[in-house]
Amino acid sequence: MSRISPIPTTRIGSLFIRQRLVDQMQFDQLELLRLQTQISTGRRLQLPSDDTPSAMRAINLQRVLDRKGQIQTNIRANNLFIGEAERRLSHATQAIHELRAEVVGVVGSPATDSERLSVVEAVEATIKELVPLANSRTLTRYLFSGSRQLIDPYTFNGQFVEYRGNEGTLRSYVDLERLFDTNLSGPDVFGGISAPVQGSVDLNPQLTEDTLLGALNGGEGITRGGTISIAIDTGPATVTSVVDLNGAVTIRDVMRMIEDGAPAGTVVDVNIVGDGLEITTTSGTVAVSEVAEGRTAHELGIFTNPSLPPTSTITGADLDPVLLKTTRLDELLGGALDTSSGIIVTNGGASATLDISAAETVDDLLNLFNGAGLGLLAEINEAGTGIDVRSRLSGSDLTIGENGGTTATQLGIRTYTGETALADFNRGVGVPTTADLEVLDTSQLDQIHIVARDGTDLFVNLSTATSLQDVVDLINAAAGATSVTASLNANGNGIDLADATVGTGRLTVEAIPGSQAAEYLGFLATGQTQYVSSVTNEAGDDVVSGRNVLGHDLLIVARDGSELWIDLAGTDTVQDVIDRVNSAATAAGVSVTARLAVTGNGIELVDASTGTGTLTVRALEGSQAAEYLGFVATGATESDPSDVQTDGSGNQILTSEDRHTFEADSLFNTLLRLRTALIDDDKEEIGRALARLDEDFERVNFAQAELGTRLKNLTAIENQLKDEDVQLRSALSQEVDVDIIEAISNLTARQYAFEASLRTTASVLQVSLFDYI
Amino acid sequence: MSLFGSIQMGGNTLQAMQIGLHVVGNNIANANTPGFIREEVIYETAPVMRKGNLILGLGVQVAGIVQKVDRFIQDRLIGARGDRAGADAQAQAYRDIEGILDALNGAGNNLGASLTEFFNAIHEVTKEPANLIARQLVVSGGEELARNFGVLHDKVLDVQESLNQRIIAMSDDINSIAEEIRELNVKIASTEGGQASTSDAGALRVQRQAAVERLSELIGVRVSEQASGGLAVSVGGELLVFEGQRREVNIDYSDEGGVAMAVVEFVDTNSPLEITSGELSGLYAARNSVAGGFLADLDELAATLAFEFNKIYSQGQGLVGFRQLTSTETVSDADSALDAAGLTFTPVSGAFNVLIQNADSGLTTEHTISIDLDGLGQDTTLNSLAAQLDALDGLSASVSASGALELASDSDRIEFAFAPPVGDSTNETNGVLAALGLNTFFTGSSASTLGVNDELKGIDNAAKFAASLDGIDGGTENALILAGLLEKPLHLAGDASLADLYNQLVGDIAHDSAVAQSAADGARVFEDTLDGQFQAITGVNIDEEAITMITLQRIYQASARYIQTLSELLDVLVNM
Repeated sequence: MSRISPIPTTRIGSLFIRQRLVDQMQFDQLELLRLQTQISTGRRLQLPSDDTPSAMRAINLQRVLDRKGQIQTNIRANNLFIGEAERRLSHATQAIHELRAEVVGVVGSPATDSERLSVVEAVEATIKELVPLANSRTLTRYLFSGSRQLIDPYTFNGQFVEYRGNEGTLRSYVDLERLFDTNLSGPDVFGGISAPVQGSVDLNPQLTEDTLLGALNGGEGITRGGTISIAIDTGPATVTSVVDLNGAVTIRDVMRMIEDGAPAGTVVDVNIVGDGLEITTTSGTVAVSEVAEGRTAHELGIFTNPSLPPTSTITGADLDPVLLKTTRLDELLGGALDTSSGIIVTNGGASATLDISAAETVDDLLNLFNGAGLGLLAEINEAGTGIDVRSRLSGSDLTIGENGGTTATQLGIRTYTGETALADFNRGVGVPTTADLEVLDTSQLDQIHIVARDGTDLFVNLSTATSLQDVVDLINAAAGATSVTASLNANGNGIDLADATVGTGRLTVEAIPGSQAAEYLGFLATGQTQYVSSVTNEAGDDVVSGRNVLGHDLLIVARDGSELWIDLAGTDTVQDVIDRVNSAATAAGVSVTARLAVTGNGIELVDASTGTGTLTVRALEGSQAAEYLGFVATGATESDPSDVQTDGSGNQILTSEDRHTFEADSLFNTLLRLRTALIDDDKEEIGRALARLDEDFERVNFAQAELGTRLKNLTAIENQLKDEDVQLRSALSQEVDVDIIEAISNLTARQYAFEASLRTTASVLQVSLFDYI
Repeated sequence: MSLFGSIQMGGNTLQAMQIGLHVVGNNIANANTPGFIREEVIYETAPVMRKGNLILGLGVQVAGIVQKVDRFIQDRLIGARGDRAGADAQAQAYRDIEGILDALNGAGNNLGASLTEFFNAIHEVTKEPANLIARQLVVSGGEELARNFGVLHDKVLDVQESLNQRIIAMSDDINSIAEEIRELNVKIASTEGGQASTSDAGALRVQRQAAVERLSELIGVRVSEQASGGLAVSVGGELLVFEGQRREVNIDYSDEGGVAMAVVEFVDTNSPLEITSGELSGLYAARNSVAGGFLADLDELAATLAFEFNKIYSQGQGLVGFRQLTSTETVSDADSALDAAGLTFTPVSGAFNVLIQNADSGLTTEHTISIDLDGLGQDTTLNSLAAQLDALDGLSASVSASGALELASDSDRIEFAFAPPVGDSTNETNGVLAALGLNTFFTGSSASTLGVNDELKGIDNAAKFAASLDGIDGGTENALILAGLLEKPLHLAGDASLADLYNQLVGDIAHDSAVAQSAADGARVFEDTLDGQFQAITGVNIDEEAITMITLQRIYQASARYIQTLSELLDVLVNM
């Protein structure tokens, strides 16, 4: 503002003196006014140009202050939401705790029906209390709905609780660059969505010309704006070109750009081969390299190793397109997906057959599940390789099976496959087999007495045997030249004796006083002193069959009456069971075949024998396998004849019930299962439900603790922001606020200067030569 | 030499001194007259006479009355006045714009504050996604921001228009002053005789000098005096006044972005005055570069805000979808590739997804629409895009006669929305939705046209605010991205953020204003310096004049005494 103009050194005019004096006074007055304005407004800067660097810092600081002010508002609001959520969970844990005490009262002591039913009512009351609690809102925000905010997240229709929210997270800025999770979704707190039905099947979408570049490499895509270098060795020379792939969206674009960008005078063809690109040239050999330090050629799988001799064809690597909602179904599994059969889905006590023949895309397929009205959630899995199907219904069993084809299996979403672990059957209870008969009781293997048809007495000492095979070997060794042979029966669980000697007698097993082996091996009934064979085999040999020493789990009786004794010991998967049945049938020559159910789920027994009987599965004493595999109803000893179907070939078909179900792991699921168990007075199930209730309690507790931790973090962040706010305001003040002391000092100094100016002006203007003439 | 001759010589001396005193009196009278150039009497010895072998002096005579002036300094001063006037005009324009921007007022209703408040409002949506008021406040914040852009634009446009009016008014001033100079040229030439004179037509020259200085302040002229005493005044190498002639100037208008920009030009040649200094030069610079440049920068900021915000926004979904939607932008040719169809913002190759949701089942189908603009093969046109969209089950698409894309769901129970394609986690899509104005927040592409899409206005439409990235009613992830956009580096802006661009807008004005002010101060100092030098020569010093007056008075007294002495000698002779 101030300026100093030089004064002429030669002469000076009166007008000039007056002008300069006036200028000086005006300048002094201007400065006084400026200082007065600074003092009255408290601001040093009136316009940014007064001190541009300082003004720009001030503008930035002001904006940061405004932004951080908003962030403090965010934190206050989030404190409210999280605090409210924590408070609601406190109520929830209290309710669970009280209910548990009531249930334990019923389980721990003999309870009357009325006591039990009162607990049932307590369970229902708890459900009705917790569902609204899980639907809690603060202001307009659902606290446990994920990121969906327009509908109540949980609904209860008396039978099932459905979770309609999602697993999304609401986030909020708690600093300029820091996002903070401000909610826990319903599944995080109460549960509500089942584990995904997911297979190991990679649906492997095909690469097509329409494939988006963003879908390549498992969804990693291609670096935007990439370039590659193409070199063609034509023989006499190597010509190169750089192909700019900026603007390419689909594989078609890339193919076209590479062909179009081939070095001048050369021809390059690009095609899709398999799931990669193939580049060929008729102009010589071709090599593709990166430009600068790019990665595009690698990402497109067409980078050629410079250490290898170039060829006329580059076969690109698998570009691994990710599965998208828009992916066409006919691009999956090499076009081999069975779209004509459909899928049978059961959930919430209802079943639907999904016809996917009209579905064109993965999205259509997912919508068939999601729109089936069965409380399903179908989506593409995180890896982008297949689809997951989950249940939103608590208290319900989800199964997905075939409808006579292979669709569900191909999609990897069948809930009942050969690989399904038996341990997961019956909601984790598994399939208990005759584990208590698995160990040979060698203490009872002492001595047996066998009398052949020809009268030969065989005394066999079995005390050294540790297995049934040892028993067989000892008997055969003792028989020597006598044509009495021992062998393991078809199931390997017992010993059969055969007598090929010639004589008038019959093969006989005699009791030896004090010995137990004959009874233990089943040759003699308890207390029996002798067993005389009455059966001969096809060769005419007398036969004596021992009992199943190691135990069977179930007996399959074919239509023709033939029996299959099945021991499921050592089976881990459904396929193991199927194999066990089929190998037994083969060994026994029984025309029964086991396989996965063609329609729905379960193990299907196909009886091709002829006869008047009915294919039957019987539970054997000591084993619950037939029941837990789903062949025999609870409380029954054999399968229901009405369950036996006849196929088009006249074969009898018996399909086990699907005992491998998925369920939503949730507090509500536990409560609903508990309610059912209490009504049924199923103490085992009540016990299991109690154990799961403890897990649910822990989950709610954990969620509450998590919310508490977040509140604590928010408070720490808020305090930090408050400190920061003070510092920012201080910095802003230093930039724009006036230093009052300095300003007043300057004002005083300027006042003196102004007064001095006035005095000197008056003096200078008063003196003149005319005063002296 | 006779006594009478001597008396005559003394009388001449008296006359010469009287002239000197007159000039002194004139100087004293004009001592405080700005622009006055003091005059000086040039005395010279009168011609001598021979008498016998003697050569006698004949006293003093007045050779002329001249102005005490240094023409070189005068010319430089004229130029300096023009430079200072130009710099003043620019500096004032900068300060006007600074005042309008009001950037230091953090609590005020200015552009910077509304920019921050708008982005702050988006935070509220992230806290309560279902709160329609929060969404409505974002829309209101956007309208306020757009309004502030418009207000700022209009105010600066007013400044520009006011500068324009000053330029228009200056045409008459130039003609008037040029005419005055021309007339004075004629008068001075006739007064001084039209040839090299020993005397200056002082008052006339002072008037002419004042006129020249005023003209130079306006247009920064160059001046050269001719032998006749007339001036040749030129601007940018072209003569404006030459002695008794001058050229008329008037105003012509050129269209600059819809604004009629006045330009001063010669009437006879229709060529503009090529000026490099003077107030007119400063006004040109202030109007075109300062105000015009600021408006261009403001438009660029508005356009960047609109396009970058819309690019992200258009990929999101609201709490509800659309049943019908018409693009806010139109193409001039629906069969031209979209990047050559006349859209304000140019899209590039890419893709976007369309979500079609059935309200009854709640199910959504997703479709990818590819935009091919690589110049190879058949590029995407608005018609082909409409065909792609129309082929989607549940959606109808067509191009209107005005070149807008019209979308409608096939039933009242079907809604549609838009989403980013796969591989676009950063929402850096091709911008075709933003370019077409489909599912956009802002409309317009400049400060004056910036607005908020009518589709979002009113509480009834607040639910359409596209806060979600996970489908209709799918959360607030898009709002989070939008809320952070203010500070996010933008690829198309050289990695500068919107906040950086705003800072640049303010910083450039502040910096240029400081520089212009500094330049104006410098020009004024230089002008003052030259003025000091000029006045050191031309200025009247009362004391100096007093001395001159005393000196002349004494000579006059001595001469009178001399005449009295001669008279006494004559008396002696007469009385002999």
